[in-house]
Amino acid sequence: MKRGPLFAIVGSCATVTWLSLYLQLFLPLSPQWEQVVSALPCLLLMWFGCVSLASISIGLLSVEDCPKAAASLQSEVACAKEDLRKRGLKI
Amino acid sequence: MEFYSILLPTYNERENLPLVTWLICSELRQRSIPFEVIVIDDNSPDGTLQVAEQLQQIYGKETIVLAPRPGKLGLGSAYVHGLQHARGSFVVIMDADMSHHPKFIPEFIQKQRETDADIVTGTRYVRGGGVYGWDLRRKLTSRVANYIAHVALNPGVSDLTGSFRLYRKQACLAALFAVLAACVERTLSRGYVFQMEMVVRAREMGFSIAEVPITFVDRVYGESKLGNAEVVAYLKGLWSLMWR
Ligand SMILES: Nc1nc2c(ncn2[C@@H]2O[C@H](COP(=O)(O)OP(=O)(O)OP(=O)(O)O)[C@@H](O)[C@H]2O)c(=O)[nH]1
Ligand SMILES: [Mg+2]
Repeated sequence: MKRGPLFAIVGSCATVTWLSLYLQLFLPLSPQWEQVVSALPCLLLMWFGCVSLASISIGLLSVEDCPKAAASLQSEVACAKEDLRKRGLKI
Repeated sequence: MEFYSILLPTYNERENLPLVTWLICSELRQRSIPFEVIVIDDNSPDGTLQVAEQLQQIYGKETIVLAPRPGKLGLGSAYVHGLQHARGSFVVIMDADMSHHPKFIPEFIQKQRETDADIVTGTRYVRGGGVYGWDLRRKLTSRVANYIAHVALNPGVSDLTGSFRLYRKQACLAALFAVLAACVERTLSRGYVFQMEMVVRAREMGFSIAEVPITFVDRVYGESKLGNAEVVAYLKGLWSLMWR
């Protein structure tokens, strides 16, 4: 299944469940639970933000720099230019 | 021995084309891998085609195949055009701007033989791969773009926007036509979006994909563009891939 419809279905199910709890449609909530339920979306958002931030940071730190590749490319380019000139390439 | 067709789309790559061609020929001839280079030039105003003709004289018509087009018609159709000339059962797609080093082609080939994959894609984001010439902003943009794509698409590859890949020819054609068919009404996606679409569509079609770490040295000649328009195009492309 594509992620779009999947997110839409999961999202709307979650919203409906949460609303029915929050509005106490089926069962009455004690004041403590009322607090928990009303904070839930915010908590979820914070959790997602943290996971994203952590994941991107790890990714960012693990991008390797490769100066060696750049240096060897430089010398290969010099070699290539020399050889191509010998073979009669005019630029 | 399999025959490999290397597709090089060029637009204003007068300086880079001879260098990348030279590197391809030296890397592959050294290992006796049979290949051809197909240059798809879109009538570049800087005279890339004239340079390609000179290269054809140096390396021969068997090795350098010219597939010019009358104008700048975009990357997607450039690959279709190039594939029509391809004699190999495998094709390598790479940029001609020297950010992709031909020394990785033999590694792709070896990986393909080991795994019998339909596609081998180069990745900058695993151990052994890397980038050169990127500032922190560029790295961040790239990581964020990849993260969003992973959440939105679960693509199964670590580097979606890289365009250095080896394809079984059938897999390449099938993915290309799926991409082109899905985007007729949108403006034909360029660069990053296109590469992402190719790999996502290919995976949806059930082609197997393997990865090889590559180093990416940002273009030496010519300028690189990564503006707001690219970012918007990328997000739009992601969105449409989530649904269709
Ligand atoms: N034939 C053809 N080639 C193109 C066209 N646009 C780009 N290219 C070539 O495709 C390759 C990749 O293009 P680039 O401009 O490097 O795009 P990119 O790698 O996504 O972006 P930067 O390297 O960051 O600028 C290069 O070899 C270009 O010369 C086009 O419209 N037609
Ligand atoms: Mg490039």
